[in-house]
Amino acid sequence: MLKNMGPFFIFLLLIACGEKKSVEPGITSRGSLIKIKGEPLKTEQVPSGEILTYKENEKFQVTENKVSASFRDPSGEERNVLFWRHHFRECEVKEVPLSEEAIPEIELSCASFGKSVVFVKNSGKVTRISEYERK
Amino acid sequence: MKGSSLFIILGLILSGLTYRQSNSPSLISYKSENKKTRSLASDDTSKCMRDLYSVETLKNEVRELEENMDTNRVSGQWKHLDLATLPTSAAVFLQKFGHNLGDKTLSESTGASACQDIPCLFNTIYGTPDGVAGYVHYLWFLRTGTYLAADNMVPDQQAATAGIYNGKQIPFASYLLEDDELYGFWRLSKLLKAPYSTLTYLKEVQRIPRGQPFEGRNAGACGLAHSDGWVSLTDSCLIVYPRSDDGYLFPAVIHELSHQLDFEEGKRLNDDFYRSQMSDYMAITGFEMREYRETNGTLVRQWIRKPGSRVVSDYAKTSPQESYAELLAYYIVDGDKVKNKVNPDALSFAARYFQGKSFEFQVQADDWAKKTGILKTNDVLKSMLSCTTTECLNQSMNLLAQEEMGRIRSQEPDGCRVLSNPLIAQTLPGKITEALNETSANLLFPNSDDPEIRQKILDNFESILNPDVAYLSFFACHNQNAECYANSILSKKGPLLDEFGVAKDTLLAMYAETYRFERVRDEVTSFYKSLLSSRDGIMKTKSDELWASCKKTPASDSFPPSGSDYIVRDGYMASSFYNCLNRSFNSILQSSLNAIKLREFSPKNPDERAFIIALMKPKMTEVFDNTLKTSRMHELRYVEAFSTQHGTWLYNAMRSNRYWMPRGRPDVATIESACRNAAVKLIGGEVYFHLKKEMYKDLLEKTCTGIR
Repeated sequence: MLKNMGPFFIFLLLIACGEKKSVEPGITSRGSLIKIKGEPLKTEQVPSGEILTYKENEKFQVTENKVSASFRDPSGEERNVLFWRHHFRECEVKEVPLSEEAIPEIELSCASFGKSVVFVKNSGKVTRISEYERK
Repeated sequence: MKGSSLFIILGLILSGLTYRQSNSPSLISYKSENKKTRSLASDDTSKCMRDLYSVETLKNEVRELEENMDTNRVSGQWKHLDLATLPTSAAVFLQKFGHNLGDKTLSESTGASACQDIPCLFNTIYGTPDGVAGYVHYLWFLRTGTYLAADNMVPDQQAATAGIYNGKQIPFASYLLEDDELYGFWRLSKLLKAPYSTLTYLKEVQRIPRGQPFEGRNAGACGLAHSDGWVSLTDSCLIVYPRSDDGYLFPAVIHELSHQLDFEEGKRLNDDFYRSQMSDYMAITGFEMREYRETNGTLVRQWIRKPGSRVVSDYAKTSPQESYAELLAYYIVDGDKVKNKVNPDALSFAARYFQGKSFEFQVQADDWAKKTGILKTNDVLKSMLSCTTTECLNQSMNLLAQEEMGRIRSQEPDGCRVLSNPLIAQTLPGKITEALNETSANLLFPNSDDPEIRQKILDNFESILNPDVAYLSFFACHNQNAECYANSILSKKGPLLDEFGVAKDTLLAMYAETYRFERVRDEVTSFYKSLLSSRDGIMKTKSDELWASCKKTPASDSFPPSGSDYIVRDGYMASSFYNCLNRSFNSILQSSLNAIKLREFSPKNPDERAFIIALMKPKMTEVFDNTLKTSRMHELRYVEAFSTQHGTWLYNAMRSNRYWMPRGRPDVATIESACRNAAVKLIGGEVYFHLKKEMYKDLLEKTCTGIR
């Protein structure tokens, strides 16, 4: 009996995954963020709002009660800047140097996607992915 | 008949070779069978290392290191020198750095054509025939594999021409090191062991011209390390007081080299980013990244520190990477200070880089005493066998202790600094004698005291100290740590020493002390680096073959770029090509390795092969990067040619047939954008290394601007 119900459980699981809400910068409110992601591990004030930190170094910036930006670590192929150059190929991209450190970091951003990545110039490795309100 | 005897002789020669190969478990073992080393100790036991700083001493050091690194002859020519006639290391130096040497505003260095060796070339640059400068520069290369620059082209200088810095014409002599600075680098080359002496990505240490600050940077900066493989230093980072072996040069240069270590360790452990930004180190030092966007969208990333966390200096407070560089630099240079400044976790973190070794003065002195007791086992045995009275043995031990005090003063870079502490100077001889007596007591074998065992040990001393087990243990543990290495020595060497019965433990301790992890790491790494450099051409050939074969597949982005053995750090590459390179990266490393031989032998041991492959990876990446640079230039040249030859045709083609025109009432921008999209499709040719629309940007602008 249970054996035959396997596909049903998978179906339920798929529905559950499908219904998972995502956080959209510029749209999601602070309250909705907490409904979706739960209580943050930490909050801190920054000059332009508040940062809510979650597990795996995922962070959300809330400005005037709305999520204005998010930050997360890359995974898998996302770690390769070439992946993003391909992903942003139809976009007007901007490259902004972030520091004068010995290993320079650069922000590669695509405003029309509302997305940017921070990568290490000398290795081509992406260290952070950020989303913000699309322009 | 004649033919068959020739066959038999040939057969014997071949079987002889096979036998020798099977007795040499690694290439370096084979090499060490043919190696003779000399001791460079001074006869005068009261002299400090700095008192022996002379052309003669440096010449001897060069000779010994050149012999240790001699592998294959290198073919080629450097100016008037036939590389095949030079020691491997000299030929490799010229191949790698020969083009950098000297005043680059001149077409030829005056007098260099009379030189037959590297020190002479440097001395000609300095204008001091047979001075110390040439030897110091070359010894720096022999010990670190990097170039201590003597030229007037700073790696990231703004001017395209050599000899111009901060917008000024600089006299060539200002780029050269002064006498005290040369002494400082010589001492440092002896002080720094693995991991500093085995940095893989560092290529060059450059002096910024005397009296000049860094171009376009904060005026207060004294040194700079760049992950592209260079370090540059201004005057304030180069202060040395030779009489006391002191001065800011030592912590400053080690600080910059520690940044290089941070990059390299990070490559291995932190996905190509700083080692210092891994969570364990951040937790020790209390650093956290604060990141947010300003209201105008600008991304802000800044370091903050948890209150109460301790770091070694004010500068160490600025970021995890500066804290890491400061910690390691002061750990080596001022072990006593660092102990009081940082928390125990930070001390343990630093100690891991030096196999637990501490640089506190008293601890160093105690360590030398302990080491002597073990390393002098051979001499202790001889004394025990030749002395029949206790008085004779005591006298002999005192003499050995005196000799060792002389060695510490003249050979240990920190010897005279540590012995400048009167209490240590007074107590160390006694501690050394105590350690020698302990070794002697360990060799008395209370339950089965038998002079025959001692004689047997002496007779077999050379085979007991055979380094093969150390090499194999290192290969097995090269990616791990000193603990793995020590365990491997115990398990591999232990059974080989069973025949010495009760002496086994003493001999094992002697073996482990003789082949300390850092010493073997230094020796093995420089040997294999030299071997690989002598065969650089093999990797280039294999890379060219792969590059050509990947080009047989049309450029396509149907699948996303995948794989990370080779990463394109800058700009675009078609994913079909990128994926092709990454699919074959490891196999071409293996096939390059198969083609690398020392005389007739090639590496067979899997651990040894894995170690060599790890050394080959950055080299192959560099070869790929250079090929990519050239290929991009070719593509750009094609664009120029296409624009000149077919620019008018494209312009007319877009106007003669308006199939691409958007429907309705499009605005000017939409029309021009549609024109550019259609025009780019009309341009033929495979483009692998640029986005086509960016590469032809100017031509597309010219073609489509103003079209209606």
